[in-house]
Amino acid sequence: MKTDEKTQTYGRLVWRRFRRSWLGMAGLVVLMGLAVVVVLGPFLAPMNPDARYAPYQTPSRIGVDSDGFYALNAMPTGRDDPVTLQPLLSFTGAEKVRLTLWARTEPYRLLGPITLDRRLIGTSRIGQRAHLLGADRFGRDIFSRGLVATRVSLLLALTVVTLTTLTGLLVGATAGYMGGAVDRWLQRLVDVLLAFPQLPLYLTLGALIPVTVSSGLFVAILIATLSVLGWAGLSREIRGKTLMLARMDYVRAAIAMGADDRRIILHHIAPNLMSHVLVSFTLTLPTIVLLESFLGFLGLAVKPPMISWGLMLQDVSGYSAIGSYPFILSPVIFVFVTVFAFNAVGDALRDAVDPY
Amino acid sequence: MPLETPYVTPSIPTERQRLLEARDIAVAFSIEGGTVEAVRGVDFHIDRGETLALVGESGSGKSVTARALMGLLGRKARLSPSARVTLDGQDLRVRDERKMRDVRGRAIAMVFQEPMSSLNPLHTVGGQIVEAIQAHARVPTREARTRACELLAEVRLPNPEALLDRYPHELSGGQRQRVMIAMALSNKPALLIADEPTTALDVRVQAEILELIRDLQSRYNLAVLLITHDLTVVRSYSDRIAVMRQGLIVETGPTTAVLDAPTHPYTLQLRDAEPSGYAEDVDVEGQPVLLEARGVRIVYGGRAKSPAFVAVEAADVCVRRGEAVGIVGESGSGKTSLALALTRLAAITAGEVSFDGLRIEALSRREMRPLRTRLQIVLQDPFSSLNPRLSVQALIEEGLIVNRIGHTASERLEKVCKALGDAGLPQDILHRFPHEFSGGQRQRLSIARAIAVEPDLLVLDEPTSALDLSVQAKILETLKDLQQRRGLGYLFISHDLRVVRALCQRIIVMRDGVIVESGPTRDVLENPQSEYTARLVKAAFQVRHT
Repeated sequence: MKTDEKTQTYGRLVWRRFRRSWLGMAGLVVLMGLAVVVVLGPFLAPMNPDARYAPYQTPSRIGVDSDGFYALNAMPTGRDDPVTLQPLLSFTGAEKVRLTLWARTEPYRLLGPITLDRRLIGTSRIGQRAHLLGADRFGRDIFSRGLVATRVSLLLALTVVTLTTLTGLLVGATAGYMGGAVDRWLQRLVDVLLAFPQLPLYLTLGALIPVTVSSGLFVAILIATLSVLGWAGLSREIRGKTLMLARMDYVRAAIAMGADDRRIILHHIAPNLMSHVLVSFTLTLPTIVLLESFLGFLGLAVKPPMISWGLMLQDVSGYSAIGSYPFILSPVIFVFVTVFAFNAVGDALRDAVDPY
Repeated sequence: MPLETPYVTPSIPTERQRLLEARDIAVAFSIEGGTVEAVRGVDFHIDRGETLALVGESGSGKSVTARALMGLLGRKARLSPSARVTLDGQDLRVRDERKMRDVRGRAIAMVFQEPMSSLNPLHTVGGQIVEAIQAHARVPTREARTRACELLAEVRLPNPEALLDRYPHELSGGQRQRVMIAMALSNKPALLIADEPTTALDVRVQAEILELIRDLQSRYNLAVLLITHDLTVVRSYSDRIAVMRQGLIVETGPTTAVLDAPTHPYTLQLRDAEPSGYAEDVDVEGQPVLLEARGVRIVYGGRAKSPAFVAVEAADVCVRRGEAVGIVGESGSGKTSLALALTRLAAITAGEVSFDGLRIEALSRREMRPLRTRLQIVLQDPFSSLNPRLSVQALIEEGLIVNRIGHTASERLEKVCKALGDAGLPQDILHRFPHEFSGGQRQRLSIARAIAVEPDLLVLDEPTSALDLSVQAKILETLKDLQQRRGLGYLFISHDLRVVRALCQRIIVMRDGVIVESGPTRDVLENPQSEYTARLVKAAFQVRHT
């Protein structure tokens, strides 16, 4: 039997349309970069994310001379600002901290059992410091922490969105296909969840969970809470879509052909829901990333020694700190880039999927 | 291209005065990866008081030509620089949006195909007509309202005074189309463009609307550009005809002359694609009864707060092996409900249905499964009846897989190819997907899917109503061929009496859920017993005698 060369599967068509959106392609490149950061975070970070130096160090100035790249760390001049009474800093006379590729460092754990004693970029001598985005209130390098935090923040969001998507899909498709009493009761449950005032719950949870709880358990509680509250919206969309699909003539034709429920769901309804689910997945992920950073700001972040963007933004809640050290807001850059990339990909994907 | 000779039309024996002249209309649309030339250089003219019919199949560029006259092409279209349109000797600057806004509705008015969506559901009928009047003339609202009332009377709507305050959803399709015509006439245009004005309406209503347009035309000396694919309409209501194909006018001239003696092969083909004649007699007396229904009643709703709606009442249907039975009726007459109920895809409230002697009206979906291979259905909409995610092979193979026909993949493939061949499709399309096919090809795919399981009876629900005439003719040929070769029986549902006449040996006429008449096709059509059937027949086969 001849196969036509021009035949295009659905996936290929979607990809062709997706490629047309440069914003989506840019987002995709950023996402691939983020995936690399998730795996190699500690290796890419120029400094040990947990090492403490002097608190609230301003970002280092990076320069280049005949010997290669160097960083200058601002030094106190000994004088205070007459208005804010903060010590005045100056780069003049600061020692040049050499930056090298493949820098040697104390051994650290990259992933699971893998340990390394090299960083991609680092100071030429162990113990020196260079803060690209400054240091936080414990004197830890914000840039390195931000890179390492990608792991926890993205994996947390990914877990939550996977759980909510699966639950939403299952509940929505069941309600839509079964109809009747099952549908009515599931919809009431969805109503309750959608009506739930989430913010007070998060704040209460933050206050209720004992400080002694281990960080792993704390993350589990966080994921569980976000997942339980998050699936309702998607399930309603899926239900509507299933209702529509179940009334399509091709489902009717399948019934007329003698197909059973299993076959109709697996062959005729599920594949047509997948595009919607995929788009919803990429567009929900950034909202969870945002929510995590927002909850961190409110005090409900993961616990050290884990690092997440939300945890880093917790520091920002002190107003005096922002006023004096605006650079501690810089973890927002990571959140921004991630959210933007996911939204760009999600939008492009939706446009690519939609024509049918 | 033969030039039209001056002649006297039967309807308007007045002076021939050139109204609109269009020269070298060419329109290209930019699409992904190139441009599509929808109209490729079209010249025509319309005289005052005459009707020019623009005829062609879907995609031939009829509507685009009309929209070019109105300057309504949209951003993706490009009109050729040499295109000229003159109205009353004056150059219409169709590229100048500001100028055209003044022309639209005042000099040239348009009536669209879909009366459901061309009226704004949020405003009253009166309000919308008043708006149309005030768009072009400073008229006090009170005066405009009086004028609107006159217009509604003009289009023969009953009780125009009360109608002014009604909303579009309170009117029927035919009434809405009358309102659209009233709106179009509100500024006394010289040219009315009617783009498939009756395609969405029932035959009976269609005749009324066309009569109305013709009547108004003679009263106002209105020129009409009638866009249609229906040659019966053309024959009855137009003075001249222009046949379009692939963006070109292939033939033009007086309607009767062109249709009686076409000079272009395409016109001939178009004319011959019209379903005509009666189906051959098939001796079915001795054949066993396949499907028999007695006193079928179908009721929707009735639970909770929604009142019950009786879709079908006391319907008797009988189809023998190898026989084609047509069910005709207007929209809402219960044809589709009956078809779905007889194939047990919808619930039957009361009555008996038996298939090959076996009672099936109470069988569950699971109990119906063994019978499904013998009783198949082809659904109306070729675009929604094929799962967009399945390849042609997967689509047609599904019935074989679920019914465990054919033991090996190659055996099934053989059957799939045979079904494709029987439905008149090539066999190198197995790995293509439905979106790569046209409406006619998709309907063939539906037919191939149904006949792959080798049924005894095929229920067809308006299988050709979304398709062009030439495609319809080919599908009818295919169906007749299958009937003869396989002894397949049909229950053929259609609103088009001509199609039913060409295919079916017996006919059932439905109205408001009740069967008003049934019998051999020839008897019913030539000697209708009920007044309703008579009217349907008259509307369907009416030709204006000149």
